[in-house]
Amino acid sequence: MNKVNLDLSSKKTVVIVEDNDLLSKVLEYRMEKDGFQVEVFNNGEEAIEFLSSNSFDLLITDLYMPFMNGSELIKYVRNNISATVPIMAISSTHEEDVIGNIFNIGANDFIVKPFRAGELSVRIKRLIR
Amino acid sequence: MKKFKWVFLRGGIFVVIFSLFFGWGQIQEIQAAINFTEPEYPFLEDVPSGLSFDRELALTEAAEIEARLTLLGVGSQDLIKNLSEFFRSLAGDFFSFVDKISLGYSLLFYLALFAIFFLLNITSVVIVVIISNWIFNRRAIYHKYKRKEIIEIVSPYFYDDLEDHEAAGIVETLTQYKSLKDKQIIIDVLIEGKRNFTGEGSIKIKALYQVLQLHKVSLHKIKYGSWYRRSVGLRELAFLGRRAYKTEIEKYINDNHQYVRTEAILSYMLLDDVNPFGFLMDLKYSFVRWDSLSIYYTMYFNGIEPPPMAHMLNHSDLQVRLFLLRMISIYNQLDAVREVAKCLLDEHAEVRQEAVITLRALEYYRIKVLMKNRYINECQPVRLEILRSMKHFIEDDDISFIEERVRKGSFDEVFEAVKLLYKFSGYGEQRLWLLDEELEGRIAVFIKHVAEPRNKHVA
Repeated sequence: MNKVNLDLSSKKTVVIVEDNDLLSKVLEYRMEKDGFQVEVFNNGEEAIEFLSSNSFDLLITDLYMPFMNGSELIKYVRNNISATVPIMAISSTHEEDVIGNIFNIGANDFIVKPFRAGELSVRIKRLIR
Repeated sequence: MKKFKWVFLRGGIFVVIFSLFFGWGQIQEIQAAINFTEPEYPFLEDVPSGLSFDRELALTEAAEIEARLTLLGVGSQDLIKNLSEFFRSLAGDFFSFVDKISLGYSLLFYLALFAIFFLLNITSVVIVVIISNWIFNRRAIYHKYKRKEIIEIVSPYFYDDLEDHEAAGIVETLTQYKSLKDKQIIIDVLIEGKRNFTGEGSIKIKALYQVLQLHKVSLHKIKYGSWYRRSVGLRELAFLGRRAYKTEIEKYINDNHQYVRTEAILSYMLLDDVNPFGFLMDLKYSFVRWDSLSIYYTMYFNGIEPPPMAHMLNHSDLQVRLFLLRMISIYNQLDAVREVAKCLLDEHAEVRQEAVITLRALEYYRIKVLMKNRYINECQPVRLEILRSMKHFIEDDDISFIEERVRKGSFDEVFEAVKLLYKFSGYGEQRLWLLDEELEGRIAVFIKHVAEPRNKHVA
C-alpha cells in the first residue's frame, strides 16, 4: 500500500504529471537542479504504471489532462498506492468547487496558474520535508 | 473564289477535328444513320452477334418465352421468325435504341476512355493526398523537434536565480534561430510561458521577446497578413509586447474585419491597464455584443481593474451605452449613479431599461420618485423593470401607485404588481384581497399563483 520512499540517503523522487511540455520541462529542470530525481509523464494513465511499481516522495499533477485527469489520478493514488505521500495539484481553474474537491480527495497543496516559478519551488520543498 | 476556298478549308479542318474527336466508328454510324431506311423487321439470322447481343442466347430465351406463351394460350407462331418485332413490341423504343448503340464499337472506346480518365483522376487525387500528408508530417516533425529544442534552452530562463552569463548564453543561443518558422516557434513557447508563469518569469519573457527582435515578426504579420495572421500578431503583441505598441494596435480597432477589431480591442485593453476602455471613444464600427462579452472575460481572467465609466455614458453608439451600464452594474460603481440616472431619459428604450436594471443593482433608492413619474410614459419592458425595481424601494406611500397598476395595468404589469404587494407585507396581502373583491375576482388567480409555495422562487 505505502510506496513512500523512506530511504533518506538516496535522492528523493518527484513525479510530474503534466501534459504541457513547457511547464513539465521547466519543473523538471528546477527539481533536478534542487537535487531531486524527476519522472515526467504526460497523463495519469502513463503515470499509474510507474507509481504502482516504484517508490516516490512527491506527486505533482495537472488537473486537466487527456485520458486520465488529475482528480482521477489523485483518487487512484490515495486509494491504491499511498495514503500519505504528498500530492500537489496544478491548474488554471479559479472555481472554488473544483479547488475544494481537490483537497477533499486527498491533495495536500494546490497552485493556480499562472504562478511564480520560484514560489512553486519553495512549496515543493516544504511539502517534501 | 478566295472566300469559297476559306469556307472549304474551314470545313476540312472541322471534319478532321470532328473525326479525331468522335472516332472513325462514330462517322460510320452517322453515315449509316444518313443511309438508314426503315427496316422491314429483319430476321434474327440477319442480326449480327455484337457486344451486348448474343444471338444464340436470344434464340433460347425466345423459345422459352414462346413456350410460356403457348402454355398461357397465346398464339405466337411467328415469334421466332420475327423476333425483333417481338422485342420491340415488348420494350418499344428502348430496345430499338439498344439495337442501334449496342452494336457499335465506339461505345467501348468511350467507356474505356472514361475509365482511363476516372483512374487518372483517382490517381492524381491519391498522389496529392500522399504528398500533402508527407509535407504535413514533415512540418509537424520539424515543429515538434524545434519546439522541444527551444523549450530545453528556454526553461532555465523562468527562474529568478539565473546568473547573468547563463541568461546571456540563452539569448545568444536563441539568436541562432534565424528562420521565420523558428522565430514563430519561439514566440509560441514564450506565449505559453507567459500564460503559465507570473512574476519575474513573466517579465523576463517580455524582455526576451524584445531582445530577440521577435516583435518585428508580430508587426510584420499585423501589417501584411490575412485577417487571421493580423489577429494572431495583435495577440502576440498584447501578450509579450510593451505599452509602446498601443499606438500600433489602435490602428486596427476600426479594421474592416470583425475578428481583427475584436482582437485589437482586447490587445489594447491588455496593454493599457490605466485606461483600458480608451478605445471606446475612437470606435467607428458598431460595437457588437460579442465584444462586450470578450472584454468582460479578458478583464476577469487578466485581473484588469475596471476604469471609471460614467463619463462615457453619453457615447453615440447605443451598444456602447448598454455595455457600459452592464459593466457599471457588474463592478458596482456607485459613483456613477448620477450619470446612470440621466440614462432614464435616453431616447432608446433599451438604454432606459438597462438604466433601471443598473440602478436597481446599485440600490440607489433616491431614484424611485423619478421612476414613478416616468412610469406612465414608458413602454412595457421599462415599466416591468420599474415594477421589479420597486421591490427594493417599496414603502407605505407606494401602495396606492402599485394598486393603480393592479387596476389598470397589462397582464404582466398586474402580475408584477401583485407579486410586489404580496411580498411587501401582510398588509399588502390584505390589500390584494380587497382589490380582488373590487375587481370582481379578476386577480384571484394571480394572488393564488404568488401565494403558492412551489412558486416561491418565481414570485
